[in-house]
Amino acid sequence: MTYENNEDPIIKLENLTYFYPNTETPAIENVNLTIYKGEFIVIAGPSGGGKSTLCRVLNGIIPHFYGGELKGKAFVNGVDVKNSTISELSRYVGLVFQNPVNQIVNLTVEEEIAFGLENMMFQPEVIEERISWVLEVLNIEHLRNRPTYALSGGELQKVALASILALKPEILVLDETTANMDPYSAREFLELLKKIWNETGVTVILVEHRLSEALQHANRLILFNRTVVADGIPREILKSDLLEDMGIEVPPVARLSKKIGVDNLPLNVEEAVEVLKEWLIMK
Amino acid sequence: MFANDISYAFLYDRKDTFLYKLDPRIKLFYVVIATLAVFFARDPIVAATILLLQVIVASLGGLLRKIASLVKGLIPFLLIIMVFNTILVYLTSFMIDFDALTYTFYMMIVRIFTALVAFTILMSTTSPQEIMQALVKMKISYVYAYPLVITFRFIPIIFTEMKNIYDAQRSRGLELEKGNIIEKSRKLIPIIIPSIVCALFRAKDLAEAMESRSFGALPKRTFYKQLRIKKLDILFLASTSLAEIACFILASLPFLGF
Amino acid sequence: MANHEIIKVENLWYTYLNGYTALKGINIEINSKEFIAVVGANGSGKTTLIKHFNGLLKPTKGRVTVYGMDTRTTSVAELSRYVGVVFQNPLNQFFEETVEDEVAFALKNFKGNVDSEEIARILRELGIEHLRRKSPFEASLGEQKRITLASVLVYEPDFIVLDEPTVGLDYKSKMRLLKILTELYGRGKIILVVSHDIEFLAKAPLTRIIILNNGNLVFDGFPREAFYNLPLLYSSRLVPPQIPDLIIRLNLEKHFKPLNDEEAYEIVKSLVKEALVDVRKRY
Repeated sequence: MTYENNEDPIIKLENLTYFYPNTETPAIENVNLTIYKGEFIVIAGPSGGGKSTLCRVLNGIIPHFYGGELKGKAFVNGVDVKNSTISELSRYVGLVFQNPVNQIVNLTVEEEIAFGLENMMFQPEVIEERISWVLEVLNIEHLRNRPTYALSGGELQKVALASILALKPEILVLDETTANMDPYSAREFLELLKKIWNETGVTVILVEHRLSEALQHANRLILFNRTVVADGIPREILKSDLLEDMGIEVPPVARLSKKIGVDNLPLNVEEAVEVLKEWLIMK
Repeated sequence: MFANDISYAFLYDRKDTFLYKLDPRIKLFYVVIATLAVFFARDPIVAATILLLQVIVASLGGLLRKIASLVKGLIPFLLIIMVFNTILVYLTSFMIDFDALTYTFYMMIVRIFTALVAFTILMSTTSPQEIMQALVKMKISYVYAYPLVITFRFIPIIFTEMKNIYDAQRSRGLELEKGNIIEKSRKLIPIIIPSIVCALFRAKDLAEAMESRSFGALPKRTFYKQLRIKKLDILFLASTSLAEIACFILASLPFLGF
Repeated sequence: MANHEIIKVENLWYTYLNGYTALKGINIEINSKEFIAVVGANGSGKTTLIKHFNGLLKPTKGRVTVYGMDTRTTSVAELSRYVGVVFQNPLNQFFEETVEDEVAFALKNFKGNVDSEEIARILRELGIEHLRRKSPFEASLGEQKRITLASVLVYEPDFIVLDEPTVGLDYKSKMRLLKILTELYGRGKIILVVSHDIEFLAKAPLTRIIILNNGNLVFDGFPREAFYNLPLLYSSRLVPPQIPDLIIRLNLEKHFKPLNDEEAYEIVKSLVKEALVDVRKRY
């Protein structure tokens, strides 16, 4: 499934600059970004580069929860972030954070998934439908009545995702959600995200360090360090030295291919196999 | 330790006996009525009967093990109270009226146990979520009631975190067992400060996650699982309350020799 | 210190109070300077194992001997002099006002007096000297992790254990950490890293890798063997590093077994050289 390059972007940031309260240097500066409905975007960059700040602007936590000064323009789903509320923006933007333990508030999985829907005053019948749907999509029906303290790391993050997904947001923003997971769970989680993107057409914005796993799913890569450093097709950006210069992980197979001098850089091992077979034959 | 016994008594385990099916508001009223009844009682036998009633209800709900645990946990505290009381009485009046003292201690024990058994019935058959919902139905804003659920959810997490903190500091040579009182108190700082810091960061993360799901945005919220007062609830509350009233009435009837 | 039998784990079983058995009959011997990785899925027993090395946990069954001392009869403080354990979350240990005081804490406990020169030297080595008088809470995560490492290095244990040191770090910070650990190993320290960051481990000069699966020790040997054994990795809920995965799919593992892109590139270079020499020979 590909994204539609509409006339109307779903997110538009113009000259966006943000100062946390009592700071003199901006966390993000002159950010210009246009995102269209249905894209699957990976944002990568060094730690401390403002990626989390950017995520939080998208659902209004910045500036409404943190205060500080937000300059420039930020429109999400047509709504001006500065003049809206976190609650309103949360109808369109689902933000999943890095540490699932601190996102889960209830004692059972079912209650957790219902949480946001209850706060937004959805009727019990609708809540029931959403819970069933989300449990099925994420393959976690067996966890429905599980107490939340008895969940593994991977399961916790799936439940956190489920709780957000149940709200059916137009835009899913995930801020380093696989950071604390083991590689197997991380891989599973990202594949699940791809599946959801395929089935629902939701716009996905993934802030990730694990490019080896995440890049293959994306149609667009943004390199971010206080501002947008690069923005385009993952394969193209990999060809440049930008990732190395910024200290960002380049997938080993891509790094190898680059050194060898292959033109079409692979984003995962399967692609690398094809690419290198061709190269070997050429040699 | 005694804390373990008492906390086991109050712990909520999911089961299917009838007590679990009762509406939490009913159970709350039940506790209040039982406690009031036993505190108003003057006659030792009335008080005992009310206590007995609690134990019967508890056993019908399969909670006898928890009651036993509660008794076990409380014995030392009660003994301490009784000893201190006796000493105090002796010191103030230089004489001990054994009859009065026995009556006082007896009523005190019966009253405390009645209240606690009723409370155990409430706490171990009602999840924090249900209690929170009951409070909301009784017109308390959900923003203030919800922290009850959140606290329960995080208790095991906080304990684990403090254990991790303790392990980390022990690995750097912290020995809490050594030293006098002053030194030992100072040594608690490497435990307390990280605990507070971690709790603060946790609270911030939590607040962000909750705001992101509209917590507190609207004055009210819907509940996926609805509380409903059923016939069973009315029957339960009516029968226990009547039984308690009956005790008083029977006690005041002269021909029964009380 | 005698160099044999530095750590001896004999038939180690450990069961937590709630009845969960985390370690089932583990046997390990560490006899000399090594760079060891302990890997396994979350919940496989890795953290439980390392807590036995400094006596934080005592065996339910079996015995652990550290530098000749039986952990059942030696205090944590005593064992920690020889085995420095760096835990995962820096916020679980910071309590002093300055980084200097923070790093001095263990030194105060073990050696009594504090040598500021020594502390400054270690901070310089780890590249965090500029934080000496600052609060540890002001440091970035990468810097915080180096502060916790400094806190252990300062009293010079010979055996250093790190629990998931790379979680949450960006690529640049991980490589910096790897360089530091490699230097320490070069100086004669024994380094044991618990990690599921397989690409990080693929670049480390590991002498040995131990794989735990559900409390059982399923592998103890050379990294190259483990990383090229796909059934072993997958059954332990691990993911192979990209390069071995690639080589296996190209059916070349009988000829070469590179672990990371650098080794792979060297192999390609030498192959190309050979081919060129061949070609020249023919003409």
